[in-house]
Amino acid sequence: MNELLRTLCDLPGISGFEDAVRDYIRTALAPFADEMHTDAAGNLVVFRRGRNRPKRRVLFAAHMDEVGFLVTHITEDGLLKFGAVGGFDPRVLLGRRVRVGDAAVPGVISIKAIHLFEKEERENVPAVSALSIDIGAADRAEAEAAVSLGDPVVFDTEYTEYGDGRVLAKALDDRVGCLALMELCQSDLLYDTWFGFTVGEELGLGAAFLAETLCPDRAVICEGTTAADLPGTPDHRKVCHQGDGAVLVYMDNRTVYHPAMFRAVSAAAAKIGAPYQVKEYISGGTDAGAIHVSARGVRCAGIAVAVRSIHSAASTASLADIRAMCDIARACTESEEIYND
Amino acid sequence: MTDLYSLYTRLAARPVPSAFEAEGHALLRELLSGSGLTLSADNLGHFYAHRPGRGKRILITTHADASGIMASHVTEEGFIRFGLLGSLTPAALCDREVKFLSGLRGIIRSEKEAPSLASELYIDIGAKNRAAALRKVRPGDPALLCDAPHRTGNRLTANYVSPSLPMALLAALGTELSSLPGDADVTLCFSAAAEVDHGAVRTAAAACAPELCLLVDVTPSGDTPGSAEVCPVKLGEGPVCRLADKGCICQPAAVDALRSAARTAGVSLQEELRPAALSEAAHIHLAGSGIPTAILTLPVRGLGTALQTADLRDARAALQVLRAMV
Repeated sequence: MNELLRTLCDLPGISGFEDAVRDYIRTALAPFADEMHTDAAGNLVVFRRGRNRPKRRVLFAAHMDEVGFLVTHITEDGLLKFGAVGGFDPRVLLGRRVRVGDAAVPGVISIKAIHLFEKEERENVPAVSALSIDIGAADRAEAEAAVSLGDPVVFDTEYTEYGDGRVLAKALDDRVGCLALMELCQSDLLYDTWFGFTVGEELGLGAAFLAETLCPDRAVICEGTTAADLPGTPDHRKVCHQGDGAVLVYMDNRTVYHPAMFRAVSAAAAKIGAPYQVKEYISGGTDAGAIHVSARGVRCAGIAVAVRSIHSAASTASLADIRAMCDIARACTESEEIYND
Repeated sequence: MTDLYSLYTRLAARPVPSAFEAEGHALLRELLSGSGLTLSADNLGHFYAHRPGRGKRILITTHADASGIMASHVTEEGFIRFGLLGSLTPAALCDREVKFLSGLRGIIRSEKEAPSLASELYIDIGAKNRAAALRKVRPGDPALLCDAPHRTGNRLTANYVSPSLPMALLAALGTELSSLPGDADVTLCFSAAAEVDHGAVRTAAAACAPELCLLVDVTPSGDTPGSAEVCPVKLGEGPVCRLADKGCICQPAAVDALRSAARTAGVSLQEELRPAALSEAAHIHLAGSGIPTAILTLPVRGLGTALQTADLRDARAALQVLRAMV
């Protein structure tokens, strides 16, 4: 599991530029897939035949894209201005190493030195528009030789296991979900199951195209979710706790997950004795927001991994939590309530 | 004559929260039993009552879910923290009583004098500690306001005038639809999850693929002291034809159909433009290959607060318009 997660997290793939992630997953799953195609939006759709035909068409979904940036302007000094793809707190960007474009040109997100700040600037968070990426170019012409407007930018963070079974990486949101789906695709399944590796989740759109064409009855969304179990956060706003098991979700800012599906996933987790917790603050959103209102309506469930410092250069998670999510997802593939109710 | 008020009181006594609409389907089946309509429900919880016909396919829809709260955390002291399930504001919830689906009641209290976030509120269910509270409430349990509805003359006041009164309109139409003249193919839809996502109705609109849709909704009245409404409508002055809102400029043909029905029914419509308001029409008119959509609203005071007031005369006039539409 760990090596696969390392590979997935280290691949670049901001929204709209998921090619490297999709190519890797497609190649890895080709020997196992009964059907496989990429739709016009870029979603990778995999069908795995099970030992039985279920009453309901069930989709497991995880998004391939990660947060990042797009180059929007090159200054005369050879610095890159950029726009955010996905939600960011600018405070997490300063001084971060990044890679730009297909050539993975190294750079760093920079701002003028603290010595030069006016009083007001010191007391306020800079806007993304105040930041630049320095790729070491002497001027605009030299920068243009290396990068182009519209090039994607990803964090340059190497997957690292540390501490008490924890992992530090970029893109844990949502390569942990991709990992869970890949494990399922590579195993024998009780029922026919569809898998959707989706695009553009960080912009809120991609999975809608998939669900509109696939018309599933049920969907299980595997995700990374915010863990705010840090000092200074009141207990009721911590959302979930790293190391306390997979996170089952009943509601976020975009979706009230179907109560029967929430019960079914809870029962599946309890049946195998996998550690889980229930999300304790309503925040964020997942592909369920797009999927549940697609086609003829889709009953959705959510299984997540608690990710600290989500949407940053170095998000962290517990390997045991990731294992728990994979196991619960596996248990869901044998749930009568999900497949046949 | 269908007893609209009776239907309203039954629906107002049994509101259901978003995603839990199935809890209310039994009541809808009971109210529409003997109507001769084909009743069904779908994946998301949209509930349909259908009268087949060889004429125009018409969808008349209103949402069936009520706004409330969703328990999210139980404190060591046994208080319930929660998130908002719909359009109620934190300030409106202070010191209000709520009821969970289990029947358990609690009082919402605030950490602050003027809360702006739901996370500054909590529910006291009288539990002595976390363990005792968790025996009664779990994260993911929804709760709704639970004041008894009351009537003063033609004025109806309740926690859930919306969605109960628009739902009563559709239910009233449903009970008599089979006996009304006209050959339109009519589907009445009590839609799900609108309080959380206006887009949920799109699946119903796409499935029905009507040639004309009428969304029945509520609208804030502008006839109260200090009201800053740009286009005020008044309680008791009749139902309202919304010409456009933030998400939908109603197609002229659909608006004409609504106005024509009102003329036939002898009902005078108020009219409104709501450039800052969103409704389910934003998603209905874009469903499938596009659906001409009109919006009929009832003026309501106190939308977004714990107590809403409407005028029964507006609702009765709206019912006459609906009869003429089909």
